[in-house]
Amino acid sequence: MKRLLLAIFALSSIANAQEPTSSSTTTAPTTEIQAPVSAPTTTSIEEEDEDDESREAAVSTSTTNGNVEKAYPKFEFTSYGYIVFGQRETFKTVQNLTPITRREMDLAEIAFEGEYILSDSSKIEFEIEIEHGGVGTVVEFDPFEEFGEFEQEIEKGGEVVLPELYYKKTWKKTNTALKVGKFPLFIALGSVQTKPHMYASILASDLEARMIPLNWTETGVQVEQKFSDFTARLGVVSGLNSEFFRTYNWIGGGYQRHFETTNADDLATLASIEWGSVAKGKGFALSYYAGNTTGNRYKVDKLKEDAEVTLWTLMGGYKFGGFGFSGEVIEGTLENSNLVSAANATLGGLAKPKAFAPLGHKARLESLQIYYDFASIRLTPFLKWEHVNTFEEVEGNINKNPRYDVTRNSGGLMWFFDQGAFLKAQYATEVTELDGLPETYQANIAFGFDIDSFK
Amino acid sequence: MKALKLMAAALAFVGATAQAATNQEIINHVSYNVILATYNDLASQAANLNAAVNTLAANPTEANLAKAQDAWRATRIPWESSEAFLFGPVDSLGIDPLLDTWPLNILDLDSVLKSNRAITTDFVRALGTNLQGFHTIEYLLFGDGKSANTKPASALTAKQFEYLKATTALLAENTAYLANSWSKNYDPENPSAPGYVQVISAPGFDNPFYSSDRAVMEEFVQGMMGILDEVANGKMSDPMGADINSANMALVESPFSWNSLNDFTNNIRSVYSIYTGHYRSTKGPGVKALVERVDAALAARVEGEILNCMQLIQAIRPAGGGDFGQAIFTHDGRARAQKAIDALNALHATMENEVLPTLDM
Repeated sequence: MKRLLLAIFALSSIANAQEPTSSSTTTAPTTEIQAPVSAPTTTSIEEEDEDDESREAAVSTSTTNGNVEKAYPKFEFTSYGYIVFGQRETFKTVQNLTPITRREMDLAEIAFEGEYILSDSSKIEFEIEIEHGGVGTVVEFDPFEEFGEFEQEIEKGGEVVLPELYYKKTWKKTNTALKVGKFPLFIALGSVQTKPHMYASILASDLEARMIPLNWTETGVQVEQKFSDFTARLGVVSGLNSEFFRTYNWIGGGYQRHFETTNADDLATLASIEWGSVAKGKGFALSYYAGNTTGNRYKVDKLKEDAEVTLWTLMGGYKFGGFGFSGEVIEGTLENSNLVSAANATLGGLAKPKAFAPLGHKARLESLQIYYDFASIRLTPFLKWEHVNTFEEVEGNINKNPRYDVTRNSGGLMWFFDQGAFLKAQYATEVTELDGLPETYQANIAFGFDIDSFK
Repeated sequence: MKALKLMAAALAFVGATAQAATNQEIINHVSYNVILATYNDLASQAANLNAAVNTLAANPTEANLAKAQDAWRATRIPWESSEAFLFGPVDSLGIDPLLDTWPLNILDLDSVLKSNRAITTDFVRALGTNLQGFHTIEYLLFGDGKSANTKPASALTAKQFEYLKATTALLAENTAYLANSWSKNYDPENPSAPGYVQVISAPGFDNPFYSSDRAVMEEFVQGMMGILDEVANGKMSDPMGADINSANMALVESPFSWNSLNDFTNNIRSVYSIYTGHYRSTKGPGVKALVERVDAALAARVEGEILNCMQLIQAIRPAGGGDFGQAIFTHDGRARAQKAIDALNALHATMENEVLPTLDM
């Protein structure tokens, strides 16, 4: 791992040596909402993020024209948010087979993304998300435990969260970029397509959260290198903590946001090769994640064996005229999943897994979404199929639990009725492989805005 | 009225005998002679249950099924009589859900029984906590709980016997582990850690959990309040629903064996044990001795309220047979249950508003 870190820094140092030092003007910083940008007049590095690309273009245009000198450092921000109104079927307890209908309203998320542009080749980017109205402590109702328990949950990091904060340096001559800080992992559609206008459904993926961390970001260092239409990424990031792996979201709970600091005894390696742009819906990528998780446990003596998580993802999409599709396949392996389950089963206090300690050895998720974009009226109907099975394979004494083999079909539309405001509607049915458990439905309407859609 | 007068006199006598006890004597007695004794009984009864199930599996006769059912009920007594002190290792080591998660996840259990996996103790250990413990064993040993609380031995399949043997062995293992954590080592990650009984019975500045005897006393009182709330507002109120049409059998604890009312009664018996220091044939002092130093009338009244709650719970039992799960579907049964709930909540209020403040007096 140390060697990999050294290699990344060496690579970035070589790139840095090729890059002449750029100068900047010294006028006062400004704050602005990103306006639509005309085509750049200079050659600028292609960025993987849609918003990054526009901003880099804007910066390079202004600096090379020389007429309007932009000040450095400069601050820019964008934002998006939405509210969801929903109705869904659920069950009173694990014994009930007759679904009950529940209606909900949720101020799901508002996010502010800011950039301190330090020079024409470097910036600091951050994002602040406020979820579910932004309280730090919530009371949750768990119908599957005892007689239905009300539990106080500390949602640190899940309610008001700083999911991104990183420094990014680009070297245009070699098309190289370096990220240091906390950034989204290029591993799943939910972490790559981060803004509502990038996908027609209400969430980029409805089932990712059953298998991996949703909107997964980690702290680390990552080098990005472009070759023609390809982008390669190699990074070392903070790893997961297997203490919080649970049946209902496999390795998702291991995302270390429960505590103020992140245990970094085990780091993870992240690599990917992308053609085109997955974020924009015109590209494909193969990604790889691997990292041990035992060292990051708090109870150090409960598990001595390695518990490496390995993920392979193939994701992407393409658009032909108005017709487009997107999808992903994620295959994951958890080493010694039976030993992790046994170690987790006897955790106490708030870490107590109750009925949710057993873990699958291999997990798999597939999704496919097709859509048609009526560009003139900004209306995009879609159909989506998703399947996740976190007990694809089991080890030792773990039994495959068909309750976690889930198929979800949905359809709906996205309509940008105003330049930056949208309405999304989605109807989904969900069925598990557990005998006797009936199919349930979920209907949601999301109303929100996305400043990035102005581009 | 005469009975009440006799009861009051008896309570006053018991109170007088316990009055002289110091806080340390109370803590010592409750820790060793109530809590530790209960957990030792639990481990012992769970081992008997495991043996009874093995005998039943080897020779599935009606007599052996009845013995296994009796062993289950006997094991249930010390466990339910421990719920006023669900602190310490039973919580920190996560043992409570391993023993007593409910409702049972019947769908998943049926799914497991249909699989071709060999069912061993380790296999059941790896399953969810709502697929092991008391209620899984209960589901396999007793009837459906709706119209009957027993079934013929011939109804048990080979796979169910496998599951019964594995899960009762696991129950015996877990209860032995719990007893050991109180008597010998409360932290398996630290072999030099003593039994939790030594920790709780020796409060002081060098104690990692209890810096004073007041902290231990508060643990005792909060433990009693916790189970009073759970019995009244969880175990009893939730299955009753808003009205008779929304009563929900799926939320009743121990519905297959018709043991619910005994469970609830034993839950309150655990309050009685902590409060008076009486467990089986062992006598006080308990928290009552502390309350008596401040307010002797209050001390006696609380004991009377505890006994009254136990009587009201038992009075819910339907005259025509059945248990709590049947009573909540009748108007008079619901009325009796509501009376018990009200009494439990009143006792909870007494504990919170009158007993708890005496710790600071």
